[in-house]
Order: sequence, then structure tokens, then C-alpha cells
Amino acid sequence: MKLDERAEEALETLWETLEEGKPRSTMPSGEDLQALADLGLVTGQGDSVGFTDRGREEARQVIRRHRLAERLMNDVVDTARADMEAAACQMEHALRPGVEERVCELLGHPETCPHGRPIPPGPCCEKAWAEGERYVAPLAHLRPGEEGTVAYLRTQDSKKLQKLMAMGVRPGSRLQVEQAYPAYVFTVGFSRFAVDADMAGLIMVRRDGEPPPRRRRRRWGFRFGG
Amino acid sequence: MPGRCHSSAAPQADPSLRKIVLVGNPNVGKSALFNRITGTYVVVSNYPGTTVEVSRGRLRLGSTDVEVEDTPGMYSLLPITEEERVARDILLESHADAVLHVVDAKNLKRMLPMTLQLIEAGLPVVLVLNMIDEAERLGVRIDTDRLARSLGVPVATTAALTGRGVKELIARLGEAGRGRTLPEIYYGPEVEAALARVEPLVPARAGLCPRALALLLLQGDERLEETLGLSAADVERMAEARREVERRAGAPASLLIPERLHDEAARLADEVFRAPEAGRVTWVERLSKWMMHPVTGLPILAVVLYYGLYKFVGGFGAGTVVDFLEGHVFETYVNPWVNDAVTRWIPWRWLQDLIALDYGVITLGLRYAVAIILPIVGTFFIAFSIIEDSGYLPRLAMLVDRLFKAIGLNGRAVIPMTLGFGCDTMATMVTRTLETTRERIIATVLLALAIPCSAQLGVILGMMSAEPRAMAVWAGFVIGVFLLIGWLTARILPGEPPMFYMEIPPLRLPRPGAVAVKTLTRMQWYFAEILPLFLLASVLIWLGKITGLFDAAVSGLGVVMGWIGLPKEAAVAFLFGFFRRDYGAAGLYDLQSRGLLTGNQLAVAAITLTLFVPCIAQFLVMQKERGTKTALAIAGFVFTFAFGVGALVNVVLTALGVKL
Repeated sequence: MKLDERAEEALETLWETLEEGKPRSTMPSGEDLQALADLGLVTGQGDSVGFTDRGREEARQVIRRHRLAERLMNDVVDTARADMEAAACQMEHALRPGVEERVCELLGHPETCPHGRPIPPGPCCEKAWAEGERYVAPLAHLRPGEEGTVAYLRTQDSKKLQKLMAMGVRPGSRLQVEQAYPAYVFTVGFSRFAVDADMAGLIMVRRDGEPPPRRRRRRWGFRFGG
Repeated sequence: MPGRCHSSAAPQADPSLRKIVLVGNPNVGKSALFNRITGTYVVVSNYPGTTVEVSRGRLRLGSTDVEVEDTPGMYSLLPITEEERVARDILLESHADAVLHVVDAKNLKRMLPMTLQLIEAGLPVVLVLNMIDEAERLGVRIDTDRLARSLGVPVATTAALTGRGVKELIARLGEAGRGRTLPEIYYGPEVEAALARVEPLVPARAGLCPRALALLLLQGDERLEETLGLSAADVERMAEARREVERRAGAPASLLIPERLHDEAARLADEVFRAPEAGRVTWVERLSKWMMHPVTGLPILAVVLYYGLYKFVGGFGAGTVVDFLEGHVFETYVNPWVNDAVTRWIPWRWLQDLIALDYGVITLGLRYAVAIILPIVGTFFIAFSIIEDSGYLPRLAMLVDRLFKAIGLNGRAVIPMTLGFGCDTMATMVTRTLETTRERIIATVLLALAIPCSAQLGVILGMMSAEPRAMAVWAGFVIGVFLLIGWLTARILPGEPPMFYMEIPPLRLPRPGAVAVKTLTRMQWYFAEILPLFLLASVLIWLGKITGLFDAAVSGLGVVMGWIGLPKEAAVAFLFGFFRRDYGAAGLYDLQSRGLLTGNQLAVAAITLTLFVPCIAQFLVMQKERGTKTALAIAGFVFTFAFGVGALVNVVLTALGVKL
């Protein structure tokens, strides 16, 4: 089904309210809700408004395209943050299924938008995860010895961001993972840091090509975690 | 618009240089530089976050005295931990004439954002590229002239540990706060719009310039709102401005502002910083890897504990040296001589008792302090200083992080915990470096309960080395209690689980001079703290004896001793334990050397005494750091729990028919 832009915007807002707990004050207008109801995407009125099954799936797709567009603008086109939103808003409507999948692949099947909100995964993501071939991956997934460039930080918590930045971990930083157990050890610049799995999961790294081949002796359990 | 607020806060002339403050990331050598500048000594270590107190010193500059302040490490002007807040507040209140931003030269890029923040705040900054020797060894080249021109502040290079460049730095202090050229950083339309609205709300204060304060407030610095005393309406306006930024820019100011700062820093660093590709793997690197690998790391830890703690502190300190001082010097020479002199020249029995005989100030107080405690604590501090300076502790922190998570702490807590084996009082003070109140309380409880201090440990190990099975029971129970109570407290106390992140500094060969000075400083602190208490304890015991209170307390405690299956003579040791933990252990040592304890009793006594009350000094620090209510609650819990466990061990051993 082809929705017009206004309906897509309304679906996005409703998704953020119903699925991600944004305050109800940001709900779409009654008129927009009525339009969505006419399309069979929502049911109910006022506070009891909810998605129909088809409506939820449509909204999920719209959100996914919007956030992928943001990622594209942010990571690849390197737009300033202020312009990113406007550009993404125009681009998302152009991202049709085939294109969306390619973009998702190009970005390494990202899990969050540049603001740290989750991107609903598509079939391509599920497949890539199952095969473990992601290009951008959390630091926690890298093997000892692997190098990469920080793509983005998957959090909005300012304290965590502050800590990461204080370590020199920010988009564009080069890092190398040295160890994955009992904590993650990596070098960035001339410094070496140890972080726990939670923090290592926040650092999304663009891997450098092929991971290094495993050495034989690691087979008998010299390597932990990862 | 260059330097809109830069001119206002800057000191104008050289003679006005009255106060210098050192700031910077943890573990960049602030304390070492402080020592070089002032000639006084604060403990320097190869471990991030060891300065918890603010050190003050003086620098003689021509005919004037300049006040110098060292601050705890901080990563940015926006504080995360308590120590960072302390450092930030000092900056706010200090009215310093020169703020030395000390950075690790090889990590310039990572530390420049804070330099920018400081300059932006209108502070008279001097950028100090410390550890320049280490950077040079790595082949790093920094164009300091260009950096100074870009930043508009003096830039100096130093190697504080060797003293290189310190004279030149001092000579340039007068340039602080002059001729800035750094253009104001532009934070994008949304943030700038918010700044324009928020700035007028910021009270005029001499500390930082309004724009800098407004930037911090926009990033959600609640502490600062309190410090500045903003009205409820203004706090609401701040929150509104923050929401507005987030709505318009699609990201919070707390993300946008640091991003801009880091971008700017990266741009500057790219201009002036040249580094070669990573070098070869040295054997030090290999050793470092082994230390951090669980398979090789645990054996290394065992070796460190065995030789550092057991052999050196327990064997040499508590054994050889104590035997010599106690058995030889005091028992053979000092005590007989003092007792003899006192009974011969002093006719009054009460005065004889005060000075000498069983519980005298010299024969008991001084003897315990000098002959038993001094060698043990001294050897512990030597071992600890060597381990600390080598950079082993952060590696240990990383190794134990998972275990510590189970007890509500994270790897960072390894410093207070290991320091606790030296002195729990000192360690309780250091819990301030932990991030959340929850972690600090858990660490304080564990220190009060299950971490025996070196003196106690030395005496206990000394006593038990002849009874390995009793020692095994003791170690098993104490470790069990440590884990169990940590686990329980972590479940009872509300709060988020802590996150672990820590810099792993390079391994360095400890320098004997530095280790010696550090050990001496710690010993000095320790003795200033405890010797008066030891003597006071002797006096109190003496007072208690002549008033009969002591006997009453001993017989009262004697009953408790009966419950946990100990001879009533042990009551004396426990009573001493109120004054100093180690004092109590030393009392126990006396009992054991008189052959009054069976193996079972030894285990019970050692366990109870290890868990038993924190000493007076530790209790006072607990009260200061955690508040009276928490401190009393912890002490009450520890007291009942210790005797409870003692009774339990006794019952279990008896029921099982175990004879240790």
C-alpha cells in the first residue's frame, strides 16, 4: 500500500508514542488519526487508540526507513546534525523496499539511529546476523586482534557518552581490540582501556575487512568470550 | 567574536600571580608535577584516581609565595563522579591566577577538549604537555609553538617524574591569562539560540564566565544548578531550553556540545600532532598481556599475593622483623629496663602502671605500635607501592571485574579493596573514587567487615602459620563472608549496576626512590593517625583498670567469649580491638604465644576478630564519608554479625567433631 507523506509522519509519531513511550502530548492530531483509522491502520479513539496488526507493520516500516535515512545522512553523507533531520525526512519517502535493503547493507545493518533510538530490523538484518557477516558491529563482537573505526555510539545517556568520549572513543576514532575476556581491552590512540560487556556493546565499530585468521593454539580454549 | 568573556576574568600583571591550580585527566602526572613545583610530597601512583584529597603547597617565586593546589583527576568540566565534582568546584571557587591543564602528551587529542573548555570558561590556562619523554620515546612529535598560537595560551612540555621542563614551566606561569586568540566555539544554531536565552539567567560569578556556565547547565549539570542557587523558575526555564534544543536539533545538548568540542580538538590536534605507526611488541607488552589474560593472570596474581603479601609482609615483616623487635629489643632490653627503672624510681603504683608493667604506655602502647604494627604496615606499604607503581593494579581491576560485579561493585573497586589490606581507614577514604553512592556503601561495608588490615592480617598470618588447618578455615570463612555479604548488599541496595571502564597505563619499572618516598609518606600518615590512638588506648585501659571499669568490661565480654567458645582471657584482645583492629589482633597474638588457645579457638577468635568492629579511626572516617546514620548502621551490623559468625563457626566445628 502506498501511503502519503502526511500519513507516514502520523504513523511515525504514533509509533514513538505507543511503542517507545514518548509523552502522549506528541500524539498526532485527531484529524490525522481519523485518516489512519479510515485506512484501517489504527483502531479506537483518544487514549485508547491502538494499531491494527497491519498498522503496526506499516508504522514499523516507516520508522525503519526514517531512521535508516538518518543513519545514511549521518554516517555516509556526513551531514551536519541540524540538516540531517530535514534531509532524512525527504529521503525516507524515497527508500522503497529494494533500495532500503541495499542501504541497510551498506550501513552494516545498524541497530540504532544517530540519536540512539532503535531501528526495527528487517529480513536482511536477521539474515546478516544469523550469518555473522555484519560490517558494522559492536566492539563486543570483534575478535582479539581485530581493528576498526568507530562508526557510532549506541546510547543517548550523556554520562555514558561522556565516559566514552573521555576515552577518546568517538565516531572516526581508530581502535584495536586486544582481549575479550574477562573484560574487553582495546587500544585507541596511545591509550589502552578496559571496559565491561555493557560498555563494549555501545561502541559500534566499522570493521577493517576480513578479521584476522585465528591461530591454531586458540582452539583449545585459550580464547574466551567474544 | 574572539574572547567575548575571555578578557574579564584574566589576571593582568605578573605580581598578581598568587594562586595556581592543577587540573587534568586522572593519571597524567598532576601529583608528580605538584611535587616538583612545590617541593612537597603527595602520593603519586600509576593508577587513575588516587588523589582524593586536595593537596595544597607553596611555590617561592622571586619574593612572593604562590599557593599551589592539586586536584583530583577529571575528564571534563561536567563531572561524573564525586572526585570530579570536587575538582570542578575548586575551579569554580578558586579564582586562580593560573590554571595548569596537565595532559599526557601522547594522548593530546583526547585531552584537548577539556583544554578548550577551560579556555572557553575564561580561565587563565597554561597547557602542560606532561610525560613528554614517554611520548618522544614513542616517536610522537608535537608542534608546541603552533599549538600555543592556535589556542592562544602558553604551552609547556614537562616530564614531571624526572623534573625536565619544570623550571621553564614555572618561568612561564606569568604569561597565563594573556593574549588569547582562540575564537569562540560555535555550537550550531539550536544550541546558540538556547545559550542566548539561558545566559542571562546565570548569576554573575567570578569563577567561570557566564557562557561556560550556561553551556554546562544546558548539558544538564544539576549540581551546578544547586551551587549557583538557581530559583525553581530558572531551573524550569533551563529544562525548557534543553527540551527546545533536543526538539529542534533532534539530539540533546549533552550530546551536541561535547561533539563539537571533540571535533574542534581533533582539528587542532591534526594540525600539530605527528605520531608514527604502532611500534614493535616489547617484552613489557607481552608481560602486560599475560597479566590480563585469565589463564596466565590468575597464576601471576597468586605469585604476587604469595611473595608480596604472604612471604614479604607475613613472613618477613610479621615474622622476622617482629620477632627481632618484639622478642629481642623490647622483651630483652626495653621492657625489663623500663619496668626496672619505673619500680625503682617511682613510688606510686598508679604511675608505674601508667608508664610500664602490663598495660603501660611504653610497655604496651609503644611496644605494640613500634614492634608489631610498624614492621607489618611498613612492609605492606613497600609491597603495595611497588605493585602500584608498576601499573599492575588496573590490570588486576580488569581481571576481577566480573567477580566484583557479582557483589555490586566493579573492577574499579580493586584499589580501595587492596588498599584495605594495608589500612581500612585509608581505604574507606579512597572509596570516594567510586562512581555511585551504592558502590561506596557496599565497599564501605565490606571494608568494615571482611577486609583485614595489614597489621591484623600480619598478626593473624603469623599466629596461624603454625596451624595451617585453622588458617584454611579462617580464610574460607572470611572469603565466604566477603562474597556473601557483598552479594546480599548488592541485592538489598537499590540502584543501577555499575559500569566498568578503566585506563590501563603502560607497565613501568617502579623507581626505588619513588617507592621509598611513597612508603614513607604513607607511613607518616599512618603513624600520625595511629600512634596517638595507641597511647590513648593505653591510657584509657589504665584508667579503666584503676577505676575497675576495665575489669567490668572484660568480665562482661568474657561472657560473650563463652558464647563463642573462647577463654575469657580473649576478652582483653577484643576490648583492645575497639581501639584498633590490629591492636586486638596483637592482643590475640599475646594469648596464643602463651599457649592459651586450641586450634579451634584460634580459628574462631581469628574469624571473629577479622570481622569484628572497624577501629575507631575507620569508624570516624565512615561517619565523615557516609554520614552518621549509615556509619552507625554498618558498625551495629558488623558487631552482631562478627559474633554471630564466630558462634556459628564454633558450633559447626564442635558438631562436626573437628579438632584443628
